[in-house]
Amino acid sequence: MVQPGLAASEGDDQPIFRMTPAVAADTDGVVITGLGAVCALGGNVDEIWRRLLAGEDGSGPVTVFDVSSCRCQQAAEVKPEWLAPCHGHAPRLSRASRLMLPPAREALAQAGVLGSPALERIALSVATTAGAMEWGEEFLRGLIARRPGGLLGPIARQQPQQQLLDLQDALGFRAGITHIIGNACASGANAVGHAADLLLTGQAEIVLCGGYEALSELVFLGFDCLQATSITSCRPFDRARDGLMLGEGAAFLVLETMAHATRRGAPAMARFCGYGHATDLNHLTQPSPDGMALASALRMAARRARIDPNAIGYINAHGTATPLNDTAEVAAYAAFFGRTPGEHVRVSSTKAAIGHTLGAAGALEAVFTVQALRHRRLPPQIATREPMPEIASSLVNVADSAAPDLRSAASVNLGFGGSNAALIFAAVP
Amino acid sequence: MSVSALHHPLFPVAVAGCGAISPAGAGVAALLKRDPIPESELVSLRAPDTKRYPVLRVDPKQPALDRWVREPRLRRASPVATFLVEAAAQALAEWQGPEDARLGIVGAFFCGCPAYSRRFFEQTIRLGPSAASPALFPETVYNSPLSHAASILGIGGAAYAVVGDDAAWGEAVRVGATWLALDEVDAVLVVAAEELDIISVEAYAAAGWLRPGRAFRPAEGASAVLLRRPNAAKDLGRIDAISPGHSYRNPAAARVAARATLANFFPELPIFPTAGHSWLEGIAHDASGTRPEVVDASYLGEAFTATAGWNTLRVLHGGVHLSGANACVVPIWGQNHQISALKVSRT
Repeated sequence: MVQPGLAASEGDDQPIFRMTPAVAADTDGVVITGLGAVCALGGNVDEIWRRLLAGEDGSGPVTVFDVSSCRCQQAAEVKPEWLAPCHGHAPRLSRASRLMLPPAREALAQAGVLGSPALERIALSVATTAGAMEWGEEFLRGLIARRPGGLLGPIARQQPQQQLLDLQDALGFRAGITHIIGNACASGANAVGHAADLLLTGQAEIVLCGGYEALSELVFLGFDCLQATSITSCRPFDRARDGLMLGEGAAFLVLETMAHATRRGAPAMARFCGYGHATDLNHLTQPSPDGMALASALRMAARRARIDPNAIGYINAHGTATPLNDTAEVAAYAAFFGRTPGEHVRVSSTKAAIGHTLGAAGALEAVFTVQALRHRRLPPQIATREPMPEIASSLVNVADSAAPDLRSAASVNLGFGGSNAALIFAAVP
Repeated sequence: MSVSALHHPLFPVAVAGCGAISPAGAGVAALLKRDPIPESELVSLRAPDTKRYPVLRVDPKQPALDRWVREPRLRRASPVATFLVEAAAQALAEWQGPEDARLGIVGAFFCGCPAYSRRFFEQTIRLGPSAASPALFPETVYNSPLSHAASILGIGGAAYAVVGDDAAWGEAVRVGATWLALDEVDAVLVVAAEELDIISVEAYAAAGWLRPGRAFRPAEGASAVLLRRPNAAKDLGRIDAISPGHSYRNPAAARVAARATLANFFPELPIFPTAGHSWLEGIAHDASGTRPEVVDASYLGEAFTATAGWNTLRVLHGGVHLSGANACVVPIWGQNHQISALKVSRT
């Protein structure tokens, strides 16, 4: 059914498009063969996972720019030693690029792709909301200060596509399909889901997908002036929740067709089962309280995964800890499961530990969901003291994070503009 | 989830509706005019340096845009959102699909929302963080124009904001084709929109694109196509293929990328020369070689993703003379990342 190339079509009377190299479209499914991450809890997946399970919190004072005039002065920053180093050509790298390089390398190395012929065939599906915004800020400051020269440096590397070029330069490849999604805070999940769509339509056999976000002053001020950030602490699903905590980070997954992974001898870490997405038309920044768009995204993901909602044992929630988000999200779960979420599904929002990493959030949380399936352990819900009664019995306790029977799990995200996305993964036998 | 989820071939996809807003006016017909477009000027942020940049602007007072002023979602939105909504609405108006059709929307953006981004951050620099406006910030997000369009047009399904240089138009078409192939949608609006602001024009100047003597003109506007699976009786035309993107970081790599992109197409297939007056013009000319060139249309300036869309629409609507062929290559000369190309045919 699918063309054995990505875009070839020969017109009836004009066979004028030369077929691109064939891509094997036959597959038993899509698998994950590599993971990489960096965030406020660590510089690699193992370290982050250990600290997540221990219930640690990566928040601290903001140091990367001045926030002395802001309401909120906390965020979850990545430590300098976890960024890609500054040497050689690296001084020209933005913080965003320095965040994304280590986890991309980690994921590709784990998948056994670095230095292999598969790297030449890889597609990219990547998310961000702000790119290298700090360089856009520097450019504007330079203009306002009437600085006579030196403006090209920052602005030339500000846009998201420049970070993808940094990535390809550093890792030594040139991707074919390169797809950048800017769907606000759902972008990371969209990038992972779209990677699967590229595989399922035979456009690629292997995709490096994920998201990245560096803390930037413009974005921090934006959330601060919206009063969306907490001035106490980030407490997802807490009755007294009062806002989110911004964070930064990056995460990547290597997705490939089962056939491709098998041919390479790459072990599957988990199966990718389903992706759904929908748009909430309620408001630019406020989700509809009934959570219908997220419920719709979850239903679409479950339909594509061909699984019953009740087979999902864990949800890594969006859980920003804003009053509106968490209310809508709990309503979406009730609509999706047909009942109030109870002990049949366990839920946690890891944003209490690593902050809201915006364009990276969906990818980081997908990594955590895959880790949960691999290790049969769940990231606990930290910081929440008085849980919303509608979800209290689902929240994962630090002391009770074992999940020996976990087979399927979901990760969900909502974003400005009404973006909603859901991903479903399954454990490999 | 297996590949059996694929319901249809990826390409061709049919174009069932078109829309445009450009410095030449509203609608696709305006794209086909041959008259020169009057220039406007933007003044440097470094005033009183008095540097002035000639640009091609969309008339914000024209009826096609004015009809949206009372729309609540657009009341505080930046011009790019209104451009996008107008182009999308035009493309949707031509379509006669069922009311319960599943629609998706994909937006392509090079600059996003520079006007509000600059205003928001400039306020905070000049006046301090307490002056930051909560009304401006949400409008700076890449997908905000798309969100407004989805809300106004009632598209509650799939929506992506695709970011990149001009080549994001091609990637957005690819997303639309992917959703159609997976039967996620019955039709999908692919829209590109760009707005001019002095911050972005200063960036083009810093990049050397506006050096004296160059005819390159920054522009703004939007373009839209409504894609669906082919239905010959009703199609305006088809997008038959998209080449894989080829990324580059310097002129030498751009030269290689240009050749690799065009090598995907048989040499007999005519090419629409779309490099305009950009820095890629010489590279485009060399890469095109002896390939027959279709007759060009008038220069509307460089609105990046929107320009890539205008060029697609010009081929579909006969604004480009194909010299007896019914299809041509429409290259997309991305200004700072990728080069790709579409094969576009008329019905």
